[in-house]
Amino acid sequence: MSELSIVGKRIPKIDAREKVTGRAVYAADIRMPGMLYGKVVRCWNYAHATVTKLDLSEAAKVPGVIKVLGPQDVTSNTYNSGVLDLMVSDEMRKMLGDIEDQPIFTDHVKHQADGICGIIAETEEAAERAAEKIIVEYEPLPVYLTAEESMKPDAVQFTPLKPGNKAFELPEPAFPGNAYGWGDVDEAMKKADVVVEDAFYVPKQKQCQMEPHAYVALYDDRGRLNCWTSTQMPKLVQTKLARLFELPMSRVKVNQTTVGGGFGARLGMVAEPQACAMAMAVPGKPVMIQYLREEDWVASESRHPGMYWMKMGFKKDGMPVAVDAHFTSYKGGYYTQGSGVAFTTGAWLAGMYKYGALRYRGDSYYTNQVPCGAYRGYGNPQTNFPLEQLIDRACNELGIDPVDWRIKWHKDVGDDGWCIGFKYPSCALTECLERGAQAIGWKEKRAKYSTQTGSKRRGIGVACMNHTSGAMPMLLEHTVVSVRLNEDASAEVILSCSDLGCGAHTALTQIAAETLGFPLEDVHLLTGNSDASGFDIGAHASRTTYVGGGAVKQACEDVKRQLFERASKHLGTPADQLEMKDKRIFIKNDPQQSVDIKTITTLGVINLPDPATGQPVGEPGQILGYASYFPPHNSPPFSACFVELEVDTETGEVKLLECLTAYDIGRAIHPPSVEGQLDGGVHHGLGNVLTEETYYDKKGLCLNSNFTDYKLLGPSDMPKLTNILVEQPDPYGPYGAKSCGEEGIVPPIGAAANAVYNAIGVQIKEAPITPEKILKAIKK
Amino acid sequence: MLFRALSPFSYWEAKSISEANEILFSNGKKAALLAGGCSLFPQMKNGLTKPEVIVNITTIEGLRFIEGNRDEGLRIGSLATLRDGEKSPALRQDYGSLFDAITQIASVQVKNMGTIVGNITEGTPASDVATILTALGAKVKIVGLGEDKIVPLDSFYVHVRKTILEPGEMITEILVPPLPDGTRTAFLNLAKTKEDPAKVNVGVLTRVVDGVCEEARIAVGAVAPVIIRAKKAEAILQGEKPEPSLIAKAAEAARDDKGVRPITDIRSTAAYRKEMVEVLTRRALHKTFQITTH
Repeated sequence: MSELSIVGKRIPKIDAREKVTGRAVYAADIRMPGMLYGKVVRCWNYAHATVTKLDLSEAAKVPGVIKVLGPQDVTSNTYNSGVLDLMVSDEMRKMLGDIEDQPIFTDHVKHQADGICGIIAETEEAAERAAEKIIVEYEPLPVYLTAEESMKPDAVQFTPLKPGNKAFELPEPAFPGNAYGWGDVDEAMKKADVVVEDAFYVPKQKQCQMEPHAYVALYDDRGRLNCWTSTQMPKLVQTKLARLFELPMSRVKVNQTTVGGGFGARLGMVAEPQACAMAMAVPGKPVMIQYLREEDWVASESRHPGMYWMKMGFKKDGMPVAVDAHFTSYKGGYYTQGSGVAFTTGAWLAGMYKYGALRYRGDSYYTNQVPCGAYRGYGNPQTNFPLEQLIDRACNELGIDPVDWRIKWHKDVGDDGWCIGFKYPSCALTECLERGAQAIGWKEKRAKYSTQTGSKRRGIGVACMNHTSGAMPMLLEHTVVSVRLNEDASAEVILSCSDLGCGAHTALTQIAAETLGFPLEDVHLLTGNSDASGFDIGAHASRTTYVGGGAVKQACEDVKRQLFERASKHLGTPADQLEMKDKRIFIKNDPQQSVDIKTITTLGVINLPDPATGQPVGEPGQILGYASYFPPHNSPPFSACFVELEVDTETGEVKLLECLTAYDIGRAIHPPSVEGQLDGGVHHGLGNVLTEETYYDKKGLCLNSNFTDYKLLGPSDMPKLTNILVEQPDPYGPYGAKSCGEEGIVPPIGAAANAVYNAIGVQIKEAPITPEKILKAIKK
Repeated sequence: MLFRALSPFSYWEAKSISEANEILFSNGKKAALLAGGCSLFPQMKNGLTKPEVIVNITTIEGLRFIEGNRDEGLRIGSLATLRDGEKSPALRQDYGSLFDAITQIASVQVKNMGTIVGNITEGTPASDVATILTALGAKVKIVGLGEDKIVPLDSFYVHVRKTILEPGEMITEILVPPLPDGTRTAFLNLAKTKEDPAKVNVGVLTRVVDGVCEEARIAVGAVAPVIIRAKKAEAILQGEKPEPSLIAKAAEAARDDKGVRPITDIRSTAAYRKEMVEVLTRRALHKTFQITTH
């Protein structure tokens, strides 16, 4: 590959200035003439109940109230706030059993804060005052907070579509025994010299994106439904809204506002259905719905918690002969991404090491908690916690160094990836492990920490991860990009890819400029307008730079091809003998002969007949490049993470010292964004393993739906962070890039758990690993 | 139910302490006093409190001060912010344990808003500042419509979020006694994250004269509805030579004090909190008696 001039450069993010000055417009900043305010009236005091009486009359009398909407006043169509059902074939969807079980307003409350009715008012205050006047009576139902409770035969059924409250299990027709994997696990396990086995609890972590959910909707005078939303997936939300309200897609427009963090919380819809239902009740008037932080917490999805049982067998030399695993997750009140996480949790297990045999079972059961959906890693953090701990337990029994074991047994190029049968095209994990171990002083520290005394014990741990760049071949991967050259030879790149704040738009601009051979300032990205852009899945599965970037590259190559064709005519020389530099195309062996790109683009647009000949001068027609891109692969990235910490054996407190991530990025298109993603991921990962959990009381009411009571690690709790970007370009990714959006969160979980194990010699099986649990474990 | 809009209230900016007293008194329980707002605003937003009258006292002059030193004692005015405390040379140099307690609280942004008096008036038994001030033997000056009162912090709290303050009354300053020669103090706490309220905290003051412990005050927070004094532990130390075995005995006595009756909540467990009283007391005493441990 020739020298890159823009890709890989540490340019300022293209949206840095508007974010830093506070001028970026988020959905809640929108003000429109005549805008009304919507409030979803929620059930705050019950997590499971039927509505026996709903009287809206007093609320309707509150001054400033325009309309009050009960379940009968909106469409009776139901929806699934997730979007997986749009990314698989009809047959697959039927086989998986994906359902639409969410009404706009409900009379069967399935979790605290389920929406009962909606109020539209002139001011937010009036809407809130009216909400206090809604008269609701409930008949409480038994509350189920774990799968073990809701699967009981006499439990109240959440939906007739899912008997026994089993929201999902791997379907028998495609997965005999409701499991997937390879080999004969039972036989292989018998041959193991060492078997390790345990059941682990993984926590209900919340995404904690900075921007609380907010929406504006307008059913306009042309009969179009407009929605302003910070969704991660504008095009799929357009499809979902069109279906829900039975409108053609041409009558639904989604405007994506600045996204203040996603992490999966906006993967699909949140309150777009409620905002749009309200807007349709007041045609011509925009309606805004804005969530309070506490509302965001209990009325939008979280990570899937649950029990994860795993058993691993090893030969004396460390060979992992078999893995048997079963993850049962607590789904929450609605189905949403029911099939997705239960499926992929095992995929990350399958993709990681060279087990002789594997059997994975994944299922989930309804519970009266906030529904679980997508959250950074999509099952991968759940797998990392048991898997990496069991490996270290086995290494300990076998007397094998955990880094050496991972170097020897991790999957590599040519091995099956997370999707069995789909081979890894690139893998720099060995280099990640070696460089990471070297940089943090692994061997020395492991030796040193094996002979500690006193109440402060240090530990160092390692963990690995594999992930993905886009979700093919399991799910649809498709992005459409068009690139229009203006007459002055600047470029408009039109697409729907979202930037959740992670720098994706900067990376896409770099890819466009690099491919076109234009300076950065000549390239503009038009995003966030569903009328203008073609199809795109949206931001999930760490796909934007990899798939979106691939699409941008292909569309820009199409532009370049057209430019060369026209230059070829202009210069009377075949295109393959031409070269481009500084926005001029010239003949390779006669560089004096050249044509300015601007001449081509100007003549393409402002093309008048020559007065003398009556013929066009140059080639007429504005240049438009196009790509409808289905990526050929999912180029999984890998990483190795090392955590060093100190445990106070008298208090159980954990002091984090360092977290080092060595990351197989393929190529870093925009290195600061890659580093930012890794650092942010580490913050989420360490929180997952050490402090973060959603607590409910016996009634199923959330006890920590705010930043005061739900504890993220603060700046002074965080350790020194180090990143090593290992760049071995991938054969499929744009300029060799692989993804980095979700992955940072994953291996700090296993690495920190293993560091605690290294420090105190005991493993904690229930996340988060709190001082209380550590102390209890030490005493045992 | 959760709301963005607050309940209606009338708002007053007091120009003097007596004006504030008047408004507070005439409105009784309907009135709330506003200084930093760190406790009041979140409670109003959550609907936990719905004051009909709010009296802002930040408009009163002369209440924002921190004065004194270890020889004369310390006076902290009711409008001195936590950040003022953190930046005060008197705290840093002479009352290091109070500085330790303040400096680890929340974030600079919160410390810029919150006042020291507000922190202790909130009445949470997890207040780090109140625990160390209790150990230091601090008193509060309470001004109302009647005679001014000076009350030791030990007797200021009645229950969680309940103090002896009557309608119309407010604290105008905190009085921290001088620290005679041989006096050392220490503050330690445990929290889920650095910014989280304490799971348990311990403040200790000891005075050693000629190798003998002449005075010991041990305050423990977040283990009962109010901050408690571990008096049995104090008695064990009184008049004795501070040896590690004695300290261990005192620490155990603090843990087993009948006043220590913690709860289990989302932050910690009762068993853990109880056990940590011993560890923190022992460590704090080792610190004040300058006994090095590994």
